[in-house]
Amino acid sequence: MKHNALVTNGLSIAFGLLFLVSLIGQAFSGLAYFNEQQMSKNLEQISLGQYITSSNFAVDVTENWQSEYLQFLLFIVLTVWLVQKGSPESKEIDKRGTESDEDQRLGRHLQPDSPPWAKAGGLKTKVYANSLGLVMGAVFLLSWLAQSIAGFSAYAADQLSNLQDPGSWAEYLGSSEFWNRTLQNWQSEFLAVWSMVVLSVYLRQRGSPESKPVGAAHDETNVEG
Amino acid sequence: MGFRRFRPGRPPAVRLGGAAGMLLLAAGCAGLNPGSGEAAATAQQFHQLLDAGKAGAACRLLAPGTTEEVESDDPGSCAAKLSRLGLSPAAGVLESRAYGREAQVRLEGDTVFLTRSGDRWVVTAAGCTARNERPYLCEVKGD
Repeated sequence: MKHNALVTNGLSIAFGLLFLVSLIGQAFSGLAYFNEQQMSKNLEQISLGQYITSSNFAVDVTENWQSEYLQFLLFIVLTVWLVQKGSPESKEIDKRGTESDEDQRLGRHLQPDSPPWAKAGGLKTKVYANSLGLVMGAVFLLSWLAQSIAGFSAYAADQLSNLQDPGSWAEYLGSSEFWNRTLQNWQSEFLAVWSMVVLSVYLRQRGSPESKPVGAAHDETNVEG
Repeated sequence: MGFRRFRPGRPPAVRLGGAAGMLLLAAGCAGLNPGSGEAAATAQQFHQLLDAGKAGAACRLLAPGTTEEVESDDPGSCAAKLSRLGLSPAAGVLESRAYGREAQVRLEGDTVFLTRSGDRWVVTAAGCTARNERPYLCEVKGD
């Protein structure tokens, strides 16, 4: 049965829209907060355009981005080797590792509709076999770099408005401000993954592929509803 | 069939994400030293006007909050009070650093703090002395 593209792409469309609406909401609420602070210091207020191109907005966005991409990077890579009995987020205990070519549909087990880089062999296939982790890792590192640069700029501006020296980017990388921003995001991401891995052993959400079938046993691993 | 065939079909979300990432990186970098030269020129001009006895013109280079603090409930008294303070002369620029909407200019003889107001820089504090990790002690500053 042929479905409408809106149906077959519902998940990406819904999350894409949720992302945009949240980002726009963050821009407006962040601007209001920034201008409240400006007013309390008797400094000039700024426009939305000035705010969304400011380091204050950039650091608030990128500090969350880097932690999300780190979360997925670790989840994607660690679940190659680490398993959790009874969790639909884990593969079977005996499948720990990078698995056989047969399991991964490579080499003699390629299929006519396998992706071109999977068929190419050599370096291309090696890269493609790790492309999800590589891209997630690259976005994580770039977001973290952007957080450090924008965070330093916002921190330095705050220091200057308090009549203090701004310091340098290198000093900022070792500062409590940078690591507090970073770790407060990391801890929440790791808690969320831990909750998902553990709670999905015992709890169910009927119809969700993130859950096991409602009637599945608690110790059944790698079954999705 | 090569990978290149996939490129035109790269999901718009990926391109949008890449563009957004570059924009944010640019926003972060744009906040580094924007107009530090203009800030230095304003700090020098402030001291030149004071040296020339033009305290009224120097007052017009102050941020509103700083003017209020200098006048301290006596509107219009900025020029007289600024003259009376007798800030030490300062001239050559040693260093100028600007981040976001704030700047610090180290002159030979003074450190001046500035903020962005419209399309120009205005002085938030002058006659400042460093105190290690604590805020500078400034003879002219806002509240």
